[in-house]
Amino acid sequence: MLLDYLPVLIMAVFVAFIATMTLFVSSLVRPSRPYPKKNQPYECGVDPIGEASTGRIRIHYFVIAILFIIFDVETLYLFPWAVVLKEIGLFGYIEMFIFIFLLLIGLIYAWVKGALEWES
Amino acid sequence: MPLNIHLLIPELVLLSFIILMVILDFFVRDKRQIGVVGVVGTVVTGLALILVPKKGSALMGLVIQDPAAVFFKFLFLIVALSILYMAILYDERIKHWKGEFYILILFAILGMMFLASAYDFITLFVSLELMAVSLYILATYMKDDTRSIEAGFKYLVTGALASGFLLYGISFLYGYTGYTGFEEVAGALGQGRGGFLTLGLFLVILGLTFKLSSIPFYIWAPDVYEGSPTPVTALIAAGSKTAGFVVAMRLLFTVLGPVKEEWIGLVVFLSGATILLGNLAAMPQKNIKRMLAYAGIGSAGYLLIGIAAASILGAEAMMFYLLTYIFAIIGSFLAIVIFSRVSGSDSIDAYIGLSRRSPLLAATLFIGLLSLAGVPPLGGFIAKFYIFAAAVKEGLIGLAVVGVVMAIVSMYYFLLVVKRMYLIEPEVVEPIELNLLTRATLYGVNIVTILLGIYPGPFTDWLMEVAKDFF
Repeated sequence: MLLDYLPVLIMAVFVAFIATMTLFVSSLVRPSRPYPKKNQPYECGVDPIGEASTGRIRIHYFVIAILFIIFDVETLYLFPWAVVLKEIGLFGYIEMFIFIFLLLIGLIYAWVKGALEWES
Repeated sequence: MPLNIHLLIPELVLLSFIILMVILDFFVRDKRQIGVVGVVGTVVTGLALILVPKKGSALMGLVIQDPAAVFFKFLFLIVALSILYMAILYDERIKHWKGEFYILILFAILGMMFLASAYDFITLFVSLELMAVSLYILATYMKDDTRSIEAGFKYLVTGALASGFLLYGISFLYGYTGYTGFEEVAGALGQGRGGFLTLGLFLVILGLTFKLSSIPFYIWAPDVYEGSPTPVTALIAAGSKTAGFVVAMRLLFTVLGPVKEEWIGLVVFLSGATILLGNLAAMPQKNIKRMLAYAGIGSAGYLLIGIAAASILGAEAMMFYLLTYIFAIIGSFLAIVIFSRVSGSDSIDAYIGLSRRSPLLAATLFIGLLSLAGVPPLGGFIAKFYIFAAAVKEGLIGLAVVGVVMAIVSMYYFLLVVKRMYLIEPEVVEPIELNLLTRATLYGVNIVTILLGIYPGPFTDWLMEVAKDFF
């Protein structure tokens, strides 16, 4: 019973091996010339401001992220829906519009309440 | 299996009203009007619930409708009506997002209604979280008040932990049986058993105790009850606990009934320990909401006796107990909300001489608390009587003895409040004015509590029929 999972174990070991070996071998081959600008954390090309380790970040990022997730999930539902649209008929067609309507109410709500304003 | 969407019309009606309230919130200035729309929505949902078929299964077996589910949905709608009314009275003390307060209350109620008919672990978990997340936000609503933030934070952290336990347990049950539907799991359990099944069961029961506020996940209750806005406290006390017991009954009686010897010992232990802890810890409390939190923990223990009995009589006793419990809680909290508007305090000492200032408020609190204590001729007495009868019939004599002794102990701390209200002369004698609607509501709640005590026959006969659905 437990033996059936042996391939999983072998794969895990294999993946770990490949990953560490890649890092190790390339560290032997590549030139190493660090300087301050190169050691900066990458923040989409913008110079970082302050220390991230203080833990103070704008709560607003979460609101934007949650709004993004909602519409991300909506797209995720729309694709399979579009593929099987002919089979599920009018019922599924209307149901998807109800779903989009509910999301739209959510977006309007966030908009009206000022969740999209960047300046408070 | 067909969709049978018509069985869900009451829930869809409630959801439509919630969306209507969200839209109205953009335009309406006096947010109490949104609360009134919510009250209308609750009444319309109740009418839809009367008309909907009382038996069947919908959404391909994800939810079912049976008389027990309908009974609990009516209970939740009664809770919704009274909590919305309390929230309208409480409106002036809410500073931010007044409109959303009513909307979130109804979202929590919607989650509870789905819980009452959940027949699949997925539905169960999603509706449980719909209720829980709404309550987390509501508990933190007074964001200028550190106690409210503390309440919300503790509620969220313990709630997330308990949800983790529940989900982990569900995943073991799923791994063991290969199904998430209650019926399929029940069928698969009949065929054999293993160590992982017991582990899954154990985790599911522990996860549920958070909603029941019984041992081991009771520790949040006193702080959350004290710190939350009072209507939210009432919603957690009346609604969330009832919803927890609906799930517990469906899970333990219907799904895990075939393996009942595996869990009865655990439930008996939890029940006895919870009764002892709740009633003993309630005695030294100085804040009435905190005292009711411990009294609520005690009540959870009594209700667990019904689960430990695992019989039709036990299920019937639990449903009748929840019915009387909800009315007692609604009455007590209505009195607390109205009184705290005048006094601005929830301390028990603030209640000194309330009977001189407003006889009706004092009488409501008196009847509510004594019904919780189980004094004849109030509803709570009959409920406790049925619970103990169910316990004795199943041979749980020790549990029944603990219950009876602790019921007498509970009289002590309830009567401390009564003594302050009736026997001590107040310093302020200025009477408290109540308008006609408030007086009518208070009379209504009191009459129901007394009626359930002196003429319980029709209710108990009907609930006996309903209870058969669980087995």
